[in-house]
Amino acid sequence: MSKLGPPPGPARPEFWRSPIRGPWLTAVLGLVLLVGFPLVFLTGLLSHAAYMPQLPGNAVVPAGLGLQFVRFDWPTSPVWLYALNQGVHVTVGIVLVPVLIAKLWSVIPKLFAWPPAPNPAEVLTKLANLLLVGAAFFQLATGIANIQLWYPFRFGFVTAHFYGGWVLIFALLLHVAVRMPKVRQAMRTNAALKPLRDDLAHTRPEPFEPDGLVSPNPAPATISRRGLLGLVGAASGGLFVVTAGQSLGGPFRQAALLAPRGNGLALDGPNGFPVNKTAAVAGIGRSVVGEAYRLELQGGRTLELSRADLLGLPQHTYDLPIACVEGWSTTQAWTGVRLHDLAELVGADPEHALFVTSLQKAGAFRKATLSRDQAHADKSLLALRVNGVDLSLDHGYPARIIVPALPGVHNTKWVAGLRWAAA
Amino acid sequence: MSGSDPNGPGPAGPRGFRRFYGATPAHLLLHLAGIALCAWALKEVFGHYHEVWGNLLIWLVAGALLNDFVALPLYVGIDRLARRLWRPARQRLARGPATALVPGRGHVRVPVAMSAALLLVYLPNILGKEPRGHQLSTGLAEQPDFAGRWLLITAGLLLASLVIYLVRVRVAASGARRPSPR
Repeated sequence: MSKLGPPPGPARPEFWRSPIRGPWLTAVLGLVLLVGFPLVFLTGLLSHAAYMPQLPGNAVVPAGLGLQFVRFDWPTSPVWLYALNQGVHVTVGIVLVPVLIAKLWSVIPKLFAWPPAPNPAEVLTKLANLLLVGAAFFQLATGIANIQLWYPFRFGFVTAHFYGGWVLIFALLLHVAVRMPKVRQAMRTNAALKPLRDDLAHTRPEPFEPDGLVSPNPAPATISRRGLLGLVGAASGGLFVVTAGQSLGGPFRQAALLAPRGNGLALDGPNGFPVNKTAAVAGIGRSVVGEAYRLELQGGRTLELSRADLLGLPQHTYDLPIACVEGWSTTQAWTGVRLHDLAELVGADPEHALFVTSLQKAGAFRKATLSRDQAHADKSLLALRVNGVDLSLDHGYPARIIVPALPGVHNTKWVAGLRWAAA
Repeated sequence: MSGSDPNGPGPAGPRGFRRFYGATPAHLLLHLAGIALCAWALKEVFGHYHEVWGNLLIWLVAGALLNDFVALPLYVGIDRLARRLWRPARQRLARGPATALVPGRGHVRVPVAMSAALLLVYLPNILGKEPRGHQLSTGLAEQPDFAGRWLLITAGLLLASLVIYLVRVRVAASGARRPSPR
């Protein structure tokens, strides 16, 4: 069959006519992805570790599943560590979308190369490419849907996204091992960045080689190589501008026009900053947070405190971020009682972890376990007020946890109980 | 295919291996190792979601297939069609050499690509997809008008590109009127 030659259409090399397609362009776009995807993978892995699934009740990915060996005591300093990690994870992931699309455009003739399976090596190559490209789109699509709270799939987001990341990084490592010699060669023969100097009038195809990416039948250039990279950069840059402000905060939030927690996504006033889960969602009514509210403390002894009792204890104010796994973050001035002081009040063992429970009766993240370090860090608070006023009900009135560098959802709202015990 | 090769797989040794397999032994070992590692991760997630394995599989391959067989032909086709339609219009509209000095394609492609990227990534927001209930999750009575914002951004990008184009044409025209210093 192969003697008959490829059928008319995309299987024929001369079908593909762009004069800028070639090893150099593919190598440049590939190198951007080679920096970007591992960065997104690494921040994703760190986020998994930041939830400290090794502590009781914290695991989101089922503990029995494999590949969860990156575990360590997530630090409480610098306070913006988790905000930075998630801002990078989400924003870099989003700006890679145009780069991935351009990279795949640059290699599209390979997909249709004839015959489709000339030997076992080509079959394995195609399978590896499907794993790589499939996992890349899977990660971007599920992540981007998740930050917009849209769940059109039937599997759970966190577990699928965690293992999708591993598929992507394994397939990427394989791809790099196989392709790096070609990237080096493309960079050497083209003197690295020299093609960037060519304007449209001087844009010529790279030297033709059989079975390569360069067209045997190139059309006149309609865009230079630097023009294409500029177009991709503009598309990524536009995404950056409407996204990054939800992580950077301050005036930049106004520029985050399309981001899920950007411009116009908070009420006005001292409690006017984004909410992840409202009291209505959590099923918290006014009745459970009124005069009858008591916080239960269990350490060396047991103690019940009203909100007035808590306000009578020494108050501390710290500027700390809430940083959501979905990438947005917001820094506010929180006032409350240090968790360390509460531990001393009930004579808790300073080596113990802290088990926090919420008034919320059902749903995810109504409890969290804090490590010894988190429970005793200088700035770890049971916050009662924010920006000089009482917490709003949506932000966790009567009391919420605020721990530096802790993933947002572990800063439990509407705290009902604090129990110090061995983890 | 190797089956049609009259010499068959050939004698043992590196050359025979290469003729049968199509690449070096290192290629085979790398691919087997890499695919095995991918299979390890896939085994965990498919084992956990075995009840919806079909849905998971579709999501794992759909992006790659949609990009290569739907999106790519679509945007290449739109670009080609637009250039073909524009060619006669350009010849009618061209007033003097100035418009010929400044290529206009990029001034359309860049804002359109930027707008398309925003639409692709923020499609759920722009379509107003919010199955969990926006008010419930943010505390706000209504979601911002993301569709309106996207349309305004798109219009702004196109107008900005037009202004830059007109400035370039004017600069090129004044340059062309001036006698060449050379």
